[in-house]
Amino acid sequence: MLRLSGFVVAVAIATPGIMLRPAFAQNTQGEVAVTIYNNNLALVQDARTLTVPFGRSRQEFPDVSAQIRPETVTLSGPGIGIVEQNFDYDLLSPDKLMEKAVGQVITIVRTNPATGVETREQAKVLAANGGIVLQIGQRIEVLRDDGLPVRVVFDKVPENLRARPTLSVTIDSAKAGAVPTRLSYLTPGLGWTSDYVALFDEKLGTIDVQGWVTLNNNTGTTFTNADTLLVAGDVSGGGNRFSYLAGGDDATIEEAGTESGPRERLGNFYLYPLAERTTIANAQQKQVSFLDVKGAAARRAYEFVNGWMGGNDVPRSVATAIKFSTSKRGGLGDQLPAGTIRVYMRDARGDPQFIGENRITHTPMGSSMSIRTGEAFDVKVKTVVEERTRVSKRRWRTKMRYTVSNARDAGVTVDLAQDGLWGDVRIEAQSIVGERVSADRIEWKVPVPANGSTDLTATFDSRY
Amino acid sequence: MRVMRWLLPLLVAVPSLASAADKIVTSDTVGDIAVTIYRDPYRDSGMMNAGWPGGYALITETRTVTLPEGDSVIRFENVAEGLLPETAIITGLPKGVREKNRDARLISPAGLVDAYLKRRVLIRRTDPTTGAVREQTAIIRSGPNGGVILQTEQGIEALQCSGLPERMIYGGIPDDLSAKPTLSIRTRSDRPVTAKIQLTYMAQGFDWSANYVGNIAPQGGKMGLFAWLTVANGGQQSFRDARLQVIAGKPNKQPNNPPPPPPPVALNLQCWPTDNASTHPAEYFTQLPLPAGNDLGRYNDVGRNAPNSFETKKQRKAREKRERLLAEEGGYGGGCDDCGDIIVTSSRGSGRAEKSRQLQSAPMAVSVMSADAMMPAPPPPPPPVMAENVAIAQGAKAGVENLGDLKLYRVPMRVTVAAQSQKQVAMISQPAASYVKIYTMNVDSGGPSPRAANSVLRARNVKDAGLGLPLPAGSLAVFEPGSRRTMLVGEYPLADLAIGQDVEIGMGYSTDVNWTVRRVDETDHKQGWRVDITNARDAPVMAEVIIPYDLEKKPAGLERGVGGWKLPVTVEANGSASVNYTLKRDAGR
Repeated sequence: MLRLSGFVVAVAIATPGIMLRPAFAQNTQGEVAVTIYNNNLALVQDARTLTVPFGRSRQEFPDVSAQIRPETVTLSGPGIGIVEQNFDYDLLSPDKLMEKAVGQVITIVRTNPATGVETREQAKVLAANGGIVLQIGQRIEVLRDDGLPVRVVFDKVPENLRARPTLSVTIDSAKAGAVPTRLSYLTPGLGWTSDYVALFDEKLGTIDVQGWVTLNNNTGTTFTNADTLLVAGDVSGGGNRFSYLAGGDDATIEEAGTESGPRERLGNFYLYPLAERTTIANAQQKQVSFLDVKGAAARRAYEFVNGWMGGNDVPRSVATAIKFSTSKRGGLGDQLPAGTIRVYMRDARGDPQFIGENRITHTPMGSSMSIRTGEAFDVKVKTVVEERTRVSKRRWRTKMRYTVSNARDAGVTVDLAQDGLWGDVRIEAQSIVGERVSADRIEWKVPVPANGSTDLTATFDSRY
Repeated sequence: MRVMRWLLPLLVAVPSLASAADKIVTSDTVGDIAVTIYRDPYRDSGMMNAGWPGGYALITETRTVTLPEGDSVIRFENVAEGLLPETAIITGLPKGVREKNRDARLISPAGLVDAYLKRRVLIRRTDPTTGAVREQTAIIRSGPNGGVILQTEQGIEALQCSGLPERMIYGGIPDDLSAKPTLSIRTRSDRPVTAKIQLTYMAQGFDWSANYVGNIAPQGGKMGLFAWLTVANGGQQSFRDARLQVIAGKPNKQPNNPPPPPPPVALNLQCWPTDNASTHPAEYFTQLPLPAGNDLGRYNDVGRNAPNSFETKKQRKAREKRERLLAEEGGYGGGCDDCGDIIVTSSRGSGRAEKSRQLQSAPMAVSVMSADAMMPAPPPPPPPVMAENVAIAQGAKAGVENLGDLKLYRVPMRVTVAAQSQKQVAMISQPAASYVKIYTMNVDSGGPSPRAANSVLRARNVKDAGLGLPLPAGSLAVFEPGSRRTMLVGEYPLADLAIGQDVEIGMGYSTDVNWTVRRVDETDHKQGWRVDITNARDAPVMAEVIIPYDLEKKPAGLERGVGGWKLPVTVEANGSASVNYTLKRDAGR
């Protein structure tokens, strides 16, 4: 009765005289190492020293993640062989306790409602179907059928009922005594992302960036004093799946970098070890710094995309973007794990104020970045379809005018793009020479004077 | 009390999961505070809903903390409850921040059971007759999900299953439980030090908008434009004597990563079947009968869903047929199959006009609703109603400055942004803003029978017109002096307006100016149309015919207005005017 011995110890502690201070800080976890992936998955490695008898014995492992994936459990240690692994989730509750007591003897304590006098009796539980049927001596009665208070006292907690889902492993040990073991398993409920704080100084043309990893523990379990390693990457990914972040005008990488950094790597993943052991409490969100760069070069840019050959009668604001590099030379000099980048700027009083945020994907070192922070109040574009003419049975001519207005007291250059050209659209005329960056898209750099506006006209020859 | 005596150490020892070396410092007093409020990122124009503020704020607080030597944990209290923990920035610590944590294990009945699992508590039973109190120690063997199992010297019992009053008494609050989700940081110091630190974070539950009041001058043509900066704090935390700024423009805001939810807090005690055993009727959950057939719409009639809130395929087809029939009736009547595409556009257009009419009346309806039924306390005050221009005290008007590509409005004095409240400060005062009154008619929404023209106030945001300053989004209420009193003549949502931009304010329909549109000519390549406008007013009016299609011949200086090309015309007092135009029919089908 291995389990019962622990039970006896507990009773002994509860007995007056040998009172000890409650030790909440202790749990049964050993040296815990946690490896957390981006996609809500973690590998937990728990080095515990077990005291095992010779031969077969059953070892319980409390304080594992409540969301443990039991099929991924491995236990290893010198001289021990695994017989079987069990994950029991039959939880100890009052009705379970009563169900398992059917056929057994319990103690009932009746309290006389008038005098408060207690009487004790032994009763056998005959059945627990909708009501508890007891046999007391030769009498059969239903528990608390009269509504009077009756305490029910059980002798012991039945086997296999536990306060928490519990992992148990039956092992066969070559020798008795203390054995260092290593328990490892996968669990969902732990995940991480990054949060960046970027302070942009327009006058100096620089940006200060701090990176924080933000990890969440939703497992229901606290990992005490854990050696934590964060892995940038998604272990279940691959296959060129469509990614919402990957394309279009929300993309933050303009040109993917080709530099390698000193960060630790494993396969395709970058590893971010935390400098110190840390306790990851249940229901906790934790942030630890991993990047702190000051004075990287940065500039502001304006971007506007007309998605198809249509106009907008009410001027639309252009997007404001902050551009910088993750290169070692003049950039952040690091690869950036996916997350949210928040950009701040100092106001006239010198206080930092938030000017917008955006998501970034995993970004290699040496990339050029363009973070769209929001829309410009003062720089707007009005697009007008001036004329549509049918030139032949198959071709149309579309004259477009883009009026870029600037209410700022400084000149700006807007990167204006016309999208949706489908490859076979020819550009017959344009007032500023643009660059056909792809079959689908042409981009112009439109200079706009301070407190003024610039008209860009272009004539397209299209199939529709 | 023997029991009490040996329980004493239990009561003294406050359990903790935090690292034993960390000393806890609680920071609950806020020194200087600055609040910058950002609008609801999904609202481009119109008034905010003070009862449900969808924006956010950047809050910067100065706090003084005294750090002991070695490792310590600083817990921040009295922060806005909408705090987004991943946005917190702490500066001014001697050795920086080692880690930031947001903990959500709460002090609650279930949280205490969870923290005390396998640990000792005191069970106190009170005899309901004699009042005698009996106490004994117990170990929580199981809980808090589905009941609490206790182990005492006598054996195993379930909490509150005996019918006797009994309760658990805990020795203390574990350190890692907190009353509210708490932001804390871990830091280190070489020696005891008092540091002035700055805590900056973003919090949800704030909003602001500009509330414009336009007073039309008696002679017309000019209006006094005044704007309140209205901020709302929907949270429970007040910010005393704060420096207040608001941001106009549109910063990107991504959806927030929800932090881990707190574990269950309510203690749900379950027992074996007891006092409702055999003589009491048992309560059973009976499933509601499901409607027969496969008509999903009928499922919605069960329960709280309003009838027809769910549309089945059958219902949708019926509705579409109904709408199609309606649209056909509302069209031209006398058919012209060949000229299909324009007619279709027109008849569809009448539906669109209906929609735009609904949209224009929408702000009114919203404000009326918000004033009475919709909102619980505190009711948002109605837009300020004023007959005269308001006099603003010296130095009490918010000033504007550029913040990158956004506009920052700074309230010049310190103010208190109280919990669950709305505050207004003057932000714009332009005594003589020029405008012109124009009647517009979009041919897309016309027909052969007379329709009322749209009445529009048009202004240009330039200095010469008495404006020329950035106008942040909000709502405009226009008042006009009448012979009896000054009256509200229109309400309109405004979007952010840069200097130099044109603005059009819809003032509803004018029954004095009516118009019709008729096709007068048609060939394979073009269509001739005529618009007739009548004016029942005793003054000439400026009208604009809006053509959303490609014109065959464009007059010199043709301008594009909202919705199409503008053909201006003046209609004499009590007179009429006609405009002819020709559309291209390039379709060539």
